Amino acid sequence: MAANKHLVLDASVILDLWLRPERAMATEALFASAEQGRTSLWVSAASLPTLEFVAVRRCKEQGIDPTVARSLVKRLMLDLLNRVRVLSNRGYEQAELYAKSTDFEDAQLAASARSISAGQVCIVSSDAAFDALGEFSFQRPKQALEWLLQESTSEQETLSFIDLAAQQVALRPQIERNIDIVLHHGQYIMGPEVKALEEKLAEYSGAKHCITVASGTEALLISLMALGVGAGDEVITTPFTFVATAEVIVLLGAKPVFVDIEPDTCNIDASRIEAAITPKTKAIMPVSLYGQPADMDEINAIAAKYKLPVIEDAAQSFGAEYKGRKSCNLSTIGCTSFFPSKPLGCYGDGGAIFTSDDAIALACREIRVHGQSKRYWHTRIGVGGRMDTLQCAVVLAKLERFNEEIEQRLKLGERYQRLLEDVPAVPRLVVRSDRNCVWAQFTIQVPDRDAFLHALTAANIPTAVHYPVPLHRQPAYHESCRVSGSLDCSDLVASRVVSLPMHPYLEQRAQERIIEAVVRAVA
Amino acid sequence: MQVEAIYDHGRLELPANFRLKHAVVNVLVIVPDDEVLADSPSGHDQTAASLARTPDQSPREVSAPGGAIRTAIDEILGPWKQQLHAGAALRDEDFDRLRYQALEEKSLGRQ
Repeated sequence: MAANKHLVLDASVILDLWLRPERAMATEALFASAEQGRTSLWVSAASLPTLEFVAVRRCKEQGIDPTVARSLVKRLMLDLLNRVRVLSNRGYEQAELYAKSTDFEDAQLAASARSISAGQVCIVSSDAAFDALGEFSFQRPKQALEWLLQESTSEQETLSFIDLAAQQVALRPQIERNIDIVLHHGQYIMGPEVKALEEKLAEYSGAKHCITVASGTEALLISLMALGVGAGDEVITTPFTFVATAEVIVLLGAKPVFVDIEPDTCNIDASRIEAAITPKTKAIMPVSLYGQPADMDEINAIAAKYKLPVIEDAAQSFGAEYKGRKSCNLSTIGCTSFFPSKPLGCYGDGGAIFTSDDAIALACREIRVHGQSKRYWHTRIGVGGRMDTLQCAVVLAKLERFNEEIEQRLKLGERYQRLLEDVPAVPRLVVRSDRNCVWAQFTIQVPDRDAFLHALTAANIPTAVHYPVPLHRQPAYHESCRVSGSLDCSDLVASRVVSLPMHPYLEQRAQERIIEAVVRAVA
Repeated sequence: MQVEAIYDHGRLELPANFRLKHAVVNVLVIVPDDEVLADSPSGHDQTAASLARTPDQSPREVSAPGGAIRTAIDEILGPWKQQLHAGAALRDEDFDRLRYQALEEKSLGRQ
């Protein structure tokens, strides 16, 4: 995964590498270190012309034919660009930069390094002085090498609950590229990135259709509308979820019917669903909470018996697998969210609907554009529910690293589980053997939550509660829901759950520090 | 983390029960100054070399650190490597001169 220490190489360091090998041993070691994943190497776009000019000039000075010289340097440059990542320089900041800098070229490099918004950044230069704008440290290659070998994790440092900055650094060139393409073509609504993302997501999930929409909530709303759910209908779901699950049902005039959860997975208890079905039931909406799919086979079987559609609320589980199939492709409809903190998130709101039913897909596509089947011809009641092109472009960039991130989430989740095995006071989520959990949240249960939260806050470890009050206890839902059977498990779990920091860039030492704090807090 | 190790005739021995995940791991070795012979490489070289050494490799077995980048550069330069590095080593002031000359050549179009 991405390194936490970033080195921005000045032109002088690269020129030494090419032209003064006797002075470049430490720089070679920095490249070796990057190959081992211990650091990320960057160069500023502002440095590249200088590199080329000087290297070509030196080759020619040494009697190498100019054509050969340019060819050699071109190959050196291309080799370099395969080994490092390039930082952009932004036009809007040049005037201010020029005014405040003592060395404009240095300052441009330092300004481009601002894009590295996570981890520690060091500029590496062979020069004795460097105008780093007072924002970055700069080191000679040898010192940079020693800096790399130092332990980086501070025990006092506040950890990130979800480290989007580290992800952004890892994906910076792809994200910049995709956003720039949209700014260039200017098709901000329903641009080519929308179709490209839908095709890629459909292929990833295995579903025949993917329809991107404005948010995860919008995905649920449009899905229910496409199924014709309306006033007087009932939709069976779980009370232990984010409010959007039930909110969209009520918005359509229907009634959420709450069925209790399993205490060990926190997903809806499939064995209790059938008892909740009435003639008014129009759909079943399980939630794949925390990133683990619910018992979809059992739920689908009940739904088939009563000819009901199933909508998987997969806002937290995109990327998870259930019996070899992807979440979002486990029932009539799957809905996910691209809220920034989700396993696959954008930089705003976004979501998607998945289905292999052609008629439902068509209905969803029309409903998301005000119910129109062609321009200004409205055959259904719809909403303004499109996901904008820029957000699709961001998700396309993130998709390039998604498999790697999911793999890392699985590893970190397993490691959390293993580290907690010896802490009986902290019940862990059970992951069924026929599926996995992508850990949108890593959530545990503790008996005295207030004291626990206080202890972790004191240890600079952020926490969150997903979710403190089940929906049947929410004031807005007292009159608008129906409760089927006892909801004791939901009530109990809601009083005990705590989510710990979880993201693909969580370092092992940080994870150990979190567990140490958990152990101390429950001792 | 820090562990004590014993340097024994070119080999670095870590504690017997100390196990590492990977066969090749960067380690930083602190050697008492009074143990270093005068003609030994500098600390700079030692730091760099440590990045490519495994616990059970003697110095002779260690490949050059950053070998991949150096090999790639050498392959690109091919027969022109000798010519490029011939003569007196470049000094810092030579780099400044090269830069000015290169920019002048570029700006004035003197190819």
